[in-house]
Amino acid sequence: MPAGDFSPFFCNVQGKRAEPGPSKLTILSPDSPPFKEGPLTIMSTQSRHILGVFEESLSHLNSNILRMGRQAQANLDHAIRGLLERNIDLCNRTVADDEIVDELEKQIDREGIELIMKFSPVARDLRRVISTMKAASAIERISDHAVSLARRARLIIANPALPESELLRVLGDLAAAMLKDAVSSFCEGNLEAALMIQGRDTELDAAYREFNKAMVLRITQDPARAQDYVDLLFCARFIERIGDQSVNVSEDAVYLLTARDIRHGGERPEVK
Amino acid sequence: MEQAPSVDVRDFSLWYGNFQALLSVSAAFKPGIITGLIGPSGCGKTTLLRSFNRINERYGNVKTTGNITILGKNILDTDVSIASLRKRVGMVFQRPNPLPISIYENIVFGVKSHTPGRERKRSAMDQMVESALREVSLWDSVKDDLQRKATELTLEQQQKLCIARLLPLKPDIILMDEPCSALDANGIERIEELITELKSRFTIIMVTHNMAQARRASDECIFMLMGEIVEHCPTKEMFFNPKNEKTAMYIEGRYG
Repeated sequence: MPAGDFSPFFCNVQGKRAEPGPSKLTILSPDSPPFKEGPLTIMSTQSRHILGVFEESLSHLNSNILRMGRQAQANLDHAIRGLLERNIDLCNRTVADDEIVDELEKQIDREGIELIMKFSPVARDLRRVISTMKAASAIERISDHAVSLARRARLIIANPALPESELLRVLGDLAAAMLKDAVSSFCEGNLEAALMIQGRDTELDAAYREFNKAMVLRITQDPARAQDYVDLLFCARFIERIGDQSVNVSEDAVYLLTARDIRHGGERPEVK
Repeated sequence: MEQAPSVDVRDFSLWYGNFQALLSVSAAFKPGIITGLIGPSGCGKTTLLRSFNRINERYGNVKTTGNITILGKNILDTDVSIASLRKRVGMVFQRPNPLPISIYENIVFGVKSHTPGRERKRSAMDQMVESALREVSLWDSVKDDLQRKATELTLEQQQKLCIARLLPLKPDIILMDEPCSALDANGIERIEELITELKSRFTIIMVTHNMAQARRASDECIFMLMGEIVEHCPTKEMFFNPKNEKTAMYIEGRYG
């Protein structure tokens, strides 16, 4: 009999009790070949906070936004390749995988709210929670544009091959690179990279205007396929919008890193 | 599956003389989590906490009705041994209150008073002291001088010691009455971290005035007002979408 266990009615509660910790949703393993990268590099949030749970929640938020960004990149890539390679499966995949992005957005919002509620973060921690939630909303829109692009692509590839589709490749490459860099600047805390995204959007806008002109010309030259050209123009428009939303993500990154609001011509921080 | 509550309060009322401090309170406290008791001063949260190991009775003019069932036994029954109750239901107070004796003696004090002298072995005691101090991560800083007077430790260390000295008695329930209010910000964080590490093995019930602490450190929360339980729900729920208007007013800082 253990020492002092003389009370007849106080039985010791035996057995393991389940830890009621937060359930972590695992949705995605980034399996899209073109986006295979090295191990996740999650930016360390300065010095380690004493409260381990808090630190953990913050880094969970960061890894989720990275997963979300990578999935959106994959969705965009599949949509564009679906169009250029006339591959309907890739288009369908974009439409289906959008759900992963949507789920991650909701999860990020839920966990962000919980973090604010539980820990009342301040300073950079506060900016991290808020800007992650905003970036998540932008990335969700990006994935929606990829879906719209994939739907138009399905219409276009149902018709005979359209050589002008190839013109979209440049726009697609520009937007994909902007998205990738915006997301990684956010997740890795790279201010310099984040500040460069705005300028690249100007380039994308110019390319879009050129594309627009080309399509108007083709419609007048070949009115029989006017609908296809209009669909293609829509595709270009979705890509252009993805560029805008990538800029938003990069602006969120700048806000996170410097507390500076550079939207709509706001003063930009200097890079050391 | 819902776990059986380890503390089950049913229609419990308590009077100090003519003043009724608790009005037919009912609540079930789950094992393995921290339940926070919040509410304005005088709402009865400390009274409720102190009822769980019956230290309210020291006031003399206390009268109660209803049941408090702890591990299957109504602790208000006349045949309950107060000593064995308090062994099962440990308590940590607002201000660290180690005994003015050595660190070592503080840890073994409880066990000594529950075990006849001839059954105590020095080596077992040493082992007990080490593991209790390790559990509260105090061992490394005090192991070289266990004979030092406990009251010479910092407040944070004293509070850790007060938690450590409960552990050899293997309590099922730990009551905490604002365990961090005497500590600075770092001390608060470390004690909260410690409590979080310990919680899976105990039923921890913690009174706190600090809303931020209730949010951070508790899993479920009970909001009390004027001797009654207004709301009892997961902490997340309470601080995000409280069901009761009074709870909302209080946690939003508009009341109390």
